[in-house]
Amino acid sequence: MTIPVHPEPGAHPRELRWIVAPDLLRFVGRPAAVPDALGRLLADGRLESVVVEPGAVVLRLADGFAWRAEGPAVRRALQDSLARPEAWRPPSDAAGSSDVRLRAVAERVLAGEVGDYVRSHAGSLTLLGVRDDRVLVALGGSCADCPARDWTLTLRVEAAIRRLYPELMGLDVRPRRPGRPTEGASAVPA
Amino acid sequence: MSHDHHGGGGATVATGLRRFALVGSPNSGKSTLFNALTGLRAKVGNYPGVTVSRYEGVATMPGGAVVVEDLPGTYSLDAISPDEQIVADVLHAGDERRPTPDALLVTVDATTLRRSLAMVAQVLNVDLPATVVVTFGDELAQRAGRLDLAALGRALGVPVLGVPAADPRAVDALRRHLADVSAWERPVLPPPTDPAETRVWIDSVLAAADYAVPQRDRRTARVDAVLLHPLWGSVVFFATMFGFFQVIFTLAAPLQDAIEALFGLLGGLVAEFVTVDWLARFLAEAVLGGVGGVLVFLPQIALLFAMIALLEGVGYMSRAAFLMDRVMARFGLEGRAFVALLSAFACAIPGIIATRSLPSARDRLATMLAAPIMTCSARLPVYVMLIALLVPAEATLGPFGAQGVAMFGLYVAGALAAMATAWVFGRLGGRRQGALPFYMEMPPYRLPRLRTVVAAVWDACVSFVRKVATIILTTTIALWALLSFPLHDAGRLEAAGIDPTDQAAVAAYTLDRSYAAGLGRAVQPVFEPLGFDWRVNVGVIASLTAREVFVATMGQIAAAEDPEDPGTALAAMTVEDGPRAGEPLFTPSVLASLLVFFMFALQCFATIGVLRRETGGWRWPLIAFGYMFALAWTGAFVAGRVVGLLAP
Repeated sequence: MTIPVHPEPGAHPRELRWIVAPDLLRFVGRPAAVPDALGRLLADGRLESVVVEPGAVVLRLADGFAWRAEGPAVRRALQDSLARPEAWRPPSDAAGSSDVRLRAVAERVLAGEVGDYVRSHAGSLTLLGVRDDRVLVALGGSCADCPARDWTLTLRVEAAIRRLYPELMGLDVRPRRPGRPTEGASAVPA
Repeated sequence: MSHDHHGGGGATVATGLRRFALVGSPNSGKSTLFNALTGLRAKVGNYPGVTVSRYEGVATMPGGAVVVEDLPGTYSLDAISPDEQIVADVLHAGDERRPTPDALLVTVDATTLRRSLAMVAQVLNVDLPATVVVTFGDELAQRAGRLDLAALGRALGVPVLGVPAADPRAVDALRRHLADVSAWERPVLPPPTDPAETRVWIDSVLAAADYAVPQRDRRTARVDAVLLHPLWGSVVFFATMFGFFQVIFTLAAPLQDAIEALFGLLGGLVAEFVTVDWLARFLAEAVLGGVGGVLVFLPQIALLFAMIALLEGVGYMSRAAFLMDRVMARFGLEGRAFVALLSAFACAIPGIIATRSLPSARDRLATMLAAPIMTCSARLPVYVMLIALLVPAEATLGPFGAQGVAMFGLYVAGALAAMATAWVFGRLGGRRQGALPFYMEMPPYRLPRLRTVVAAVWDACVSFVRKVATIILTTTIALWALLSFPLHDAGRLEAAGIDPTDQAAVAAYTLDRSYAAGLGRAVQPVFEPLGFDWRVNVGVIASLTAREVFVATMGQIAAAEDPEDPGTALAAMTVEDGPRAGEPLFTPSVLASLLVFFMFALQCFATIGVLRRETGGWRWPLIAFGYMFALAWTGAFVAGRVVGLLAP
């Protein structure tokens, strides 16, 4: 079976973020070993780098190569290599831990579209930490007294994190004042 | 009928403006968007395959005028059928013959996104800036579907805008977006072209866009359970059509009376105030009797098109096509052929053009040759006039008006004859090429847009009046001259025993010895077996230009015989020469012959012209004319004999 992937623009013209199923490669960072066809492209210098992000593999072509020309071959190589996800080696044991992966996901979500939405409403959302498949955030700015904040937290933040980290158990909000937990979200001691 | 009858009309478009082409699957809202952008009225139907040729219009944008081109709806850019060929040609940059668009707008129906993305994948491989316009997003939400437009845009690498059902604010946003093509994001890497790879690409894009397939519209599902049922569906279909022809007679009658009264009034004014004798006769006979006689049928034309537009707008036409597809399949014809034949109910020309969606050249030709037999709106005035002579208005069959029943019968007979013809020509065309894919969209039922229905009726009426004012008026004037000349001097009249002061007697004498009468008598051997006399012959020959001319000609002759009451004069006409001289002309058997003759004969210059254009030569139009004339003559002969036996 061919692995579904599609490219989205990256931060650099020679870079493409290849969107893959989030539970396929269970680590983040620059892999210690890339198997099969994609590994060969990396070895022969056509690919400059391979970096695994939550739900994506970021590929950067070496200088002098263009996606229009290399794209079809790279696509097939990526799909070929993704067919054996267990052969991808994480950069370190820690990079494959659930905490590291969940932190990467949460950071990505808060920095991205969802975070933009909160900021556009003059709110702020700070990642305080992750533990045992739970994420702890702090709300600030206009969020603090916003009646719609539970909606935003559940429908936007939590949903976005869960899409990239399906094992997510819950999203917790640090209480504003000790001893008075925020309604709608269970509090954990910071 | 002119082609723009059915489609608003493409404006003549200046060159040098920035061009946008609209591409998308059939029924994805392309034409609605085109109309919203340009203000033109391309025909919109909730019915796949409505845009059968290209339309261009100018849209005013914040940054100046641009040209928008509405291409036929296709499911892919693989040029299988002539329709798809048009789209492929337009998008092919190397083609010198037509301007390549500067940018593309791809319309995508949010409720059938998976299939639409295959088309998007192909379009993004054409190296032109593109924007994806997502339509029917409102319906997706109603039916509990889900789509993240921003994420879809990221996944596709091109701008994505949601424009639900031509919402004016969304259209304005689109206009602003069109102003700056250079800012449009282009995909770094176009989607894969291999079909298997495209499939997984689509899976990935849909997942990224958080797409949830809409539930089947529950109302649509429940209604379809009945309407697509092999038995009940057919019953409903025929009941709908049957009711429609009842409506045509009952609803149109008072309007028709009003128009007749108006012409009566005008006739009185002409008689009173126009003192130049020949001018008075020209106005009374040619203009009021001839052209007026055709214009009386405007209410029927309007009702016919209103009904078709309503059925299309609701989404019923696709169901009708689907039901009929099962019947057609038995005859070895594919459903698309029925779609084309269905368009021919309005006029054969859009029906012939609609055959461009047929991939097989053989099926296409067979359908083109059958389309002119479908009962087009030009036959309506002829049928109404002849039925009025044949069936008394007050006659009923059970609870129904007998005239409406007769009209319904003629439409059914025309449709059956057309399908049989298509089948015969399909068989003659030789071996079947392997079955080509047929995809008939079953759109959810939607409320028809009032604007669309009104526009369809208005266009039809304008086009009918234009046709009356041009081709029918010209033919009628020519005929008037042929019917009124040569004039005879008093000596000649007296020698023939006519009192030169008795105007009615002079008119009758002149008519009987006119050039037209000579022509009518010359072809008498051809039509004699059908029971026609020279006046009917003249009408039939004249109607080769356009069928309605028959009504105009008979109206003229009747007006010449009795200007006060042409209707009664028509019914009371008697045969003038030959063995039947003195007997009533319009006997049931002659009327039956005429009806059948008009059902089959190819009496339409415009259709012949389009056939020539679509087949690329005179061969097929001539074959069509020949076989249809033979069919018409034989059918008329048989019908006349059968009716003669039943009702002597």
